[in-house]
Amino acid sequence: MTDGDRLEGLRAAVELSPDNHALRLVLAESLREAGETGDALTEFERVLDAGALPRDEAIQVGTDAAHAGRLQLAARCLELARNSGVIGGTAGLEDLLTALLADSGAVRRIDGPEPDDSVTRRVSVAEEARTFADVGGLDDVKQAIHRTIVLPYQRPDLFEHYGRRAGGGVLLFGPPGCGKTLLARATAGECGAPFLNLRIEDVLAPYFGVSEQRLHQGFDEARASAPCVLFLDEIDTLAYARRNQRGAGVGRAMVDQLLQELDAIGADNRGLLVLGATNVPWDVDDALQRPGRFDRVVFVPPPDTEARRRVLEIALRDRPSVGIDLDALAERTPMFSGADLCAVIERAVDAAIDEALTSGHEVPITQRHIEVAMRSARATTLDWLRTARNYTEFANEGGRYDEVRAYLDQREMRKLLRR
Amino acid sequence: MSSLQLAAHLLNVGRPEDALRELQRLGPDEAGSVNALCLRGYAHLNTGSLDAAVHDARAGLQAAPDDIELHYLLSITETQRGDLAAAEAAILAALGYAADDAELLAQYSRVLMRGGQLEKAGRVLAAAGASDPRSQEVLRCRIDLAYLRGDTAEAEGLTHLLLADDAESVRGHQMLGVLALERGDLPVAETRLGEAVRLDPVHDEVADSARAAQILQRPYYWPVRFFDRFGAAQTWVVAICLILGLRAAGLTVAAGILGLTWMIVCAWSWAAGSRLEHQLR
Ligand SMILES: Nc1ncnc2c1ncn2[C@@H]1O[C@H](COP(=O)(O)OP(=O)(O)OP(=O)(O)O)[C@@H](O)[C@H]1O
Ligand SMILES: [Mg+2]
Repeated sequence: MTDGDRLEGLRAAVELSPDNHALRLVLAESLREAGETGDALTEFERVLDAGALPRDEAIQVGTDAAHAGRLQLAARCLELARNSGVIGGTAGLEDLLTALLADSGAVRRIDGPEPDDSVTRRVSVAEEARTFADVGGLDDVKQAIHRTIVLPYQRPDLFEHYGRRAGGGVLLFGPPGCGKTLLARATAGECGAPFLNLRIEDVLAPYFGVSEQRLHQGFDEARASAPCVLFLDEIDTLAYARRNQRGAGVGRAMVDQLLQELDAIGADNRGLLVLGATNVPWDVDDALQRPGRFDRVVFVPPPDTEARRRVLEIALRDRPSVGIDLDALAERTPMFSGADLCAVIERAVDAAIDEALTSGHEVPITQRHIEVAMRSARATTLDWLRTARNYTEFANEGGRYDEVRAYLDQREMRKLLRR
Repeated sequence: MSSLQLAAHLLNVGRPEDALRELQRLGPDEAGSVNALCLRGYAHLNTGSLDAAVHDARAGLQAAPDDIELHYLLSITETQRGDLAAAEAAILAALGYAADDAELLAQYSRVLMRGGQLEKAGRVLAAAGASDPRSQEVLRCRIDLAYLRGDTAEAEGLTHLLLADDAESVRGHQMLGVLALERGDLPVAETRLGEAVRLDPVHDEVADSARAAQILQRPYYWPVRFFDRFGAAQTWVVAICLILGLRAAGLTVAAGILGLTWMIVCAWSWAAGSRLEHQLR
């Protein structure tokens, strides 16, 4: 049996059972031995994609990849080596990579964007299957989103007629756990346009300049799918206010890159709507709030009574319960966030389990357990709302935060926020 | 991208809770590394879990006794906990490896200031300034020292230097606001404190001071300003002396009018004061 025959046989076998990673690994190693480095690397990469690359291969594959100019793959191997605690060779590979990156002049472009190497995640409507109906209450917010995001995609003719274009930037902000991320997902379900999700985890890279490159790539992917919505959740982690940054982290360069993308320098952002979300608007770089960038802000307040009822309902779904007065509970929990309410239910479940353990037979969750849970419950949004009041009082340029100020200025609210 | 790197980033962007959550996902080997312990220590420090931060720093130092960053972290944390002896020991250990490091010296001066040793803190800061004349941290320490010494002119001058270097320094604006408040310059206090709140709105006390500076400028609050300006005790003494003096001189009518006016001013001041308190709540 010649080497060529063996390779052919292996190839055929792998094609037959593409998920057999051990087999693919043997193929990759054989290809390497036969000197077909390019093909070998492709196979190694697929094994790596499947999370099946053995740690002691990481350095060898990484080095080969670096020499073959496939720096992205090399960087991933280096990461694997680091994460799995490989000591010998890690530093050498890192030096090699750094040198190659420096050689290539600009660190910006590492590798042509590979088709299955996209930075953004496309949220498929079917898999997400969420619409505004899944978000309790918050009617004003839904309406604002409908007008600014959904409608321009559904009725471009109407917008054209009035000389408005779809696209631009909208920033959702509000206290933690109150449905910003949920609303964004529901928006994906509502608007029918492609909805791309770009998270800090997908952007952040261990090499100088690479994070910005990936951010750029994410925007490019979005522009290629326009008209579409690009969702940047927790945008403060991408565009943290420069003033607070300690040291020269990836932060500043990333903010600059994001500004460039939003301003569409050397690109065309037509039909691209950038939807951001954050619970710390005061930590978001001021430059992001200039005209043409995120010039529309939407406040997502703590859930109102109806929304609270809905959250409680969802939290209790598929759990045995009797005689719990959800309406009364919703009334009793002003300013509780969705997450706070879920925590109440979790504690009630704990109480029911405790009781089942001591009594020896299973009991449903009852109002009694809820009462136990409510004893230690408290609304976590109040601190946030106080900070928001401080911020909007002293940083309300151009009336940007008028809506929140009106909300915070209500009699009820002032009473709740009193210390 | 590794959890360690993501955690470091999250810590950098003011999300220590998220950084902790990310660090929890590390495998046992990596979680025990000096790097991870240091990050976790800082994350705990920033969430106010000082005991946990001390624990992490000490655990890291067991593995790497010569890690300067860990000694530094330990010193900051112990200072906040109020264990100044431990804080001093930690920073001296760090200085044993890098005696000329301006940041380390600055931290040493903070320990000394906390302990009231202002003289010595000044000498340490002079050394820090000599080794890095451009360090903002050293400048911030010098401002605090000047303020603690009661040298407001020096504190103000240095703060202007700080702001020239970094126009968005929260500490800088806050210091100028406090100094303005102390000398009764309400408009400046309002602007400076307001800017400090805009830049970092989480501190309710600063926001309340800014609001007070704003409200007190209204005409209605003049008696409060008056007492603030001249001191309540002194004004009382002067007023009583004047009234008694007039009476002794036989000017009973004048003394009566003055007494009545005085009572009105006091009542007004009391009403304005309680209204201010109500408005701030
Ligand atoms: N209006 C609502 N209707 C239904 N569920 C809600 C609502 N608000 C919050 N929840 C529930 O609370 C949980 C937290 O909501 P979500 O993650 O959207 O909060 P967030 O505003 O994005 O918070 P953060 O600022 O911390 O990211 C969700 O799992 C959701 O089920
Ligand atoms: Mg969210």
